[in-house]
Amino acid sequence: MSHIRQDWSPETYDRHARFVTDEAREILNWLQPKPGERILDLGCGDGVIAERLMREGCKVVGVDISAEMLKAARARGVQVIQASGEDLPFENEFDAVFSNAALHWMTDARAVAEGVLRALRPGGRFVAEMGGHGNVATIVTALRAVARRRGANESLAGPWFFPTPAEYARLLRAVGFDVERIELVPRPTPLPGRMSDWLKVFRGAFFEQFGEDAPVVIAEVEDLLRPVLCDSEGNWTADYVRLRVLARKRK
Amino acid sequence: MSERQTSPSQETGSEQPEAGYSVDRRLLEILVCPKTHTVLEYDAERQELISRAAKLAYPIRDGIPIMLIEEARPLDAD
Repeated sequence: MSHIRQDWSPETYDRHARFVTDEAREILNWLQPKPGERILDLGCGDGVIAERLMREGCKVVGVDISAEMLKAARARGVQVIQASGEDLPFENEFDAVFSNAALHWMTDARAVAEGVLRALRPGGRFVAEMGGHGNVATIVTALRAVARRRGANESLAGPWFFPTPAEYARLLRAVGFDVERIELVPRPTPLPGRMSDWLKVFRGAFFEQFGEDAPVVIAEVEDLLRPVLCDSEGNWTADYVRLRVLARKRK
Repeated sequence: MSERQTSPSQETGSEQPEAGYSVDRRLLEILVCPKTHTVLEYDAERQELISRAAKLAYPIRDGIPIMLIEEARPLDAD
């Protein structure tokens, strides 16, 4: 399994990453959930979006790799399964598979697409938003620069799958989807705190390699990014680029 | 899942309350083996989902089915 190891903490996520679910409005518009529909939320995290879909009358199953996040989702009343997005345990089951801000953590994209296709009933739709090509490119480049200067492991800087619309559409078509809509959208995202908070939540695995020097390295990365991503009043913005897709399982 | 070895309390849709959470039987019924995509059998006693095709038993912990291949118990070890 090529899943990236990531220890998610519901508390830290709520404090420093809540914008991830707040920013889901647009992709929920693409989903157009209808009451009574059976929806799989792939990478449901702490279940905030699944709960929203349930309030609209949908029957939601949440899947995540993180046991901690699933407990938080269950506390919101979501039915949860611990599974890898690369080995989904469903067949011909759902009217829609929805995913927000999760697919880029799953690096075997073909296995994910095949599993999503299997999980859908014929004609069912796959509606997802993920990091797209160029997502957090500035941040990743700063991480790489610091890793290189210190002779550390550069590849931990950006392990994600951030595809272009062309390559992702090609992949979906190859496994059996019709791609109805796909776009790459720059979405500069104001951070609730400092860049160092973002770095700790989303790139902890990179900094672990520095042991007790980690705080110094985090400060070094933040210094590199300040002139580019921080305004004169101290507000940080992350250079997010999102890929949105609506695809349908061929009948 | 079409095969069932045990089916107590099916009318309630849940059983074996544990740490405040019980597994939802209707949820189990939509699962297939993540490795072979074949049906699973529910072992209520051991709280496991058995894949005969993969020779694996997937644990249900604290009411949550753990459908991870690397967390499953190989049946040959019995």
